[in-house]
Amino acid sequence: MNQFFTFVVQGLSRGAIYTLVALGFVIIYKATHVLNFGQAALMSVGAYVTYTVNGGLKEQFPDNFRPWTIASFPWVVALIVGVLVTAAFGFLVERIVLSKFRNKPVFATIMATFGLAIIVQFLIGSIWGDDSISLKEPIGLRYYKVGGVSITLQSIVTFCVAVVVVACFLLFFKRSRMGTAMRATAYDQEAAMAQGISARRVYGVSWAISAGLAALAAVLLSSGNGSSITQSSLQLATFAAFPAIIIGGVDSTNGAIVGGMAIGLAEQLMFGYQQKINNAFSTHIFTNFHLVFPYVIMLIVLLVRPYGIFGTKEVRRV
Amino acid sequence: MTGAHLTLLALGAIVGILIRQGVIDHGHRAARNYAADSRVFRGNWAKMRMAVLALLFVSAPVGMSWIGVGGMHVPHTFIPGLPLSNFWLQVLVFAGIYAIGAIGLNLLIGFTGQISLAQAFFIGFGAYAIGYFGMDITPFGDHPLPFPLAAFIVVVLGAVLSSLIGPFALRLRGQYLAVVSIGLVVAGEWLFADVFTWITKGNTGRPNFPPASITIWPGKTMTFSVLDAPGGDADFFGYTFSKDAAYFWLVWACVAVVTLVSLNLIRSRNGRAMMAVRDRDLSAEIIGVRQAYTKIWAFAICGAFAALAGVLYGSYFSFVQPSNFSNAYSIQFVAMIIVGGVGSIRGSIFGALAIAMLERLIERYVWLVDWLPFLQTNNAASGMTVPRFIKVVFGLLIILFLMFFPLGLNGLWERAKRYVRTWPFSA
Repeated sequence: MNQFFTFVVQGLSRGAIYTLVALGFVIIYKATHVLNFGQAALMSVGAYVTYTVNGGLKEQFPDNFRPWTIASFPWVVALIVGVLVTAAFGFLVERIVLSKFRNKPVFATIMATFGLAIIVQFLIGSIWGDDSISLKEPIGLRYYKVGGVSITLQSIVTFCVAVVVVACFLLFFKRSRMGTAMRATAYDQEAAMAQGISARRVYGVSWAISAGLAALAAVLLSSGNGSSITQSSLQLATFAAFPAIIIGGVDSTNGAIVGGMAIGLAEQLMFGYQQKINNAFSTHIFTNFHLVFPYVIMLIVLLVRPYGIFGTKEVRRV
Repeated sequence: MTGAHLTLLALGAIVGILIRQGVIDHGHRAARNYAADSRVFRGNWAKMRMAVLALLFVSAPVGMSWIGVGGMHVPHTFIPGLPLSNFWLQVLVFAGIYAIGAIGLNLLIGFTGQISLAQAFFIGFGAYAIGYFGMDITPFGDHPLPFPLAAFIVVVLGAVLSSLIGPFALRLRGQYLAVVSIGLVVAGEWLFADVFTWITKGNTGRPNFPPASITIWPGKTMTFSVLDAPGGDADFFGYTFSKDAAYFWLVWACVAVVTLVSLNLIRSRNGRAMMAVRDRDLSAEIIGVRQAYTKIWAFAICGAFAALAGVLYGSYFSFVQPSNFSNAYSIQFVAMIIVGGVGSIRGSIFGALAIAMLERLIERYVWLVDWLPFLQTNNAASGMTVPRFIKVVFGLLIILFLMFFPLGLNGLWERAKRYVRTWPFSA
């Protein structure tokens, strides 16, 4: 039973990360009605910028003197810089590339996000290499025992940060002027523009917020637990976030939260128990099944509710 | 004016009269009836073009010395009349395999409008399945199945497997379907790496694949991968060819068949139904197009072609790993149809040629891009190395084509043709 709760705690912290990523997807979808399949690239930008500001390159290339390799700031500062830089990057990407795809078919826009992701991924590889990196973070491997359940400091930090950030975002989204403008644009772009809302600005801000959330998720994912990070592990995280948004409904912020937590929990429980399941059925096929399990859940949900749990049903006219 | 000029003028006049009288059909006229509209080869020029392509197909690996053009073998050249080097044959084999997969994907995305990113999974299925059906199992005695039969089984199974996504496509549309297909690739990597390990040998990769072989008559079998050795299997009416040459013929013959099937398909009732579903599936259903049947049919065709590409892939490379069939591979196929032209069979082949050449040519002729100051030609862990450079070019190609040439290479081709045809009034 203690083991079960340990997995649940891990699942909650994992779910918090997926929630952040999924929220990023949903924000962009609400603004532009297109899923950003390049979210993994935005996560990579966040992780690697944070790593650089954190002083990572100093150790990686000790004798290679470059201005940006001397900097070494504490983890929190690096995290904030990383999030801000990634947000700016997301904003610029929207302005420079995706604004050209406003009235193009959905397929073209989706593939443009894929193309961007490829470019960013290999540019990052060419700057930082493909080896795993690890941040110098204060969390480490510390854990607490609460009645037999071990809770890592990482899961506490991740969960709390995510809760605070998501709460702030929802407050911003529901109360602030910009948030209202974003919701208005999502609801009816033309009507919003007729009210004097700049859709262009809404798109840019949506991308910036989404990129910032992705960066935050990436840094949280690579902090604590002694975890090191590669671009492919960040990609795996977005592959798990896809089912999360689909389960919740691609255009619902609440759906992203519910879907993200559900997927995180399900994935970690499956990860924890798949060896036991293997042994119980004396087979080997459940190895790595946790990577596929989110998609299995997604399929079941989709067959019951094709627009997700909280998604709005599309009205189709001939 | 010399005699030669007069002869040319006379010839031109005769051709002009023949075209005017309708004896030579140039195929540029609007179709006058449904039969004319649904022909595959429009006009005699198209037939002549096919003849030229057939000549090139036969002579690419061996040169044209057999009809009295060209002669000695010069390595790594691309001079008409001379045989292609093995490098170019390899590039073309790659391109042919890509083309088969890309045509299938184009029928699904370009003609039916179903965004699928699962092509990698079906190609992987085809590759592993030909290993299984062509080598592992011996249902009739102790011999494995003959290659064509095994390939046929794999293609049919690919179609069946792919048509199982059809029902999902009925409930989900657009981006939801894209996400489900990504999930299929994720699941595929798991199936290949962890589940069917007795076939796939897990992450270490499967090294055993049946070489393509065709029984010409009972007792005479031509095996495509051992053609180098004289005598026995290698002996093809007294001639021997390299493996790359043999696979060039096999793969491009398959491309020809697939192209013909696709061209006929899009001119048939089913093809028209596919395009109606693409343009507006609800409206199509109201005018009597069976949406479910059409979508499932499109998925089945796409899966069959992908499985055929996988069969050729497995049998040509003889080594297959689960990581070969990741999402990046799917995106590569989508990139091909974007570069070539979404909704065009010819474009899929153009795109496959372009992507295959891009990869291999930059790898081989690095000096072409060596002047770029940021490029590193060594294999450093970081830095802009050649493989990374290829990927970046690849991403740029996708975005630039989407932005500036949304009709792809096929669109450029059509534009050039229109320019020439309407000259001197062309803009």
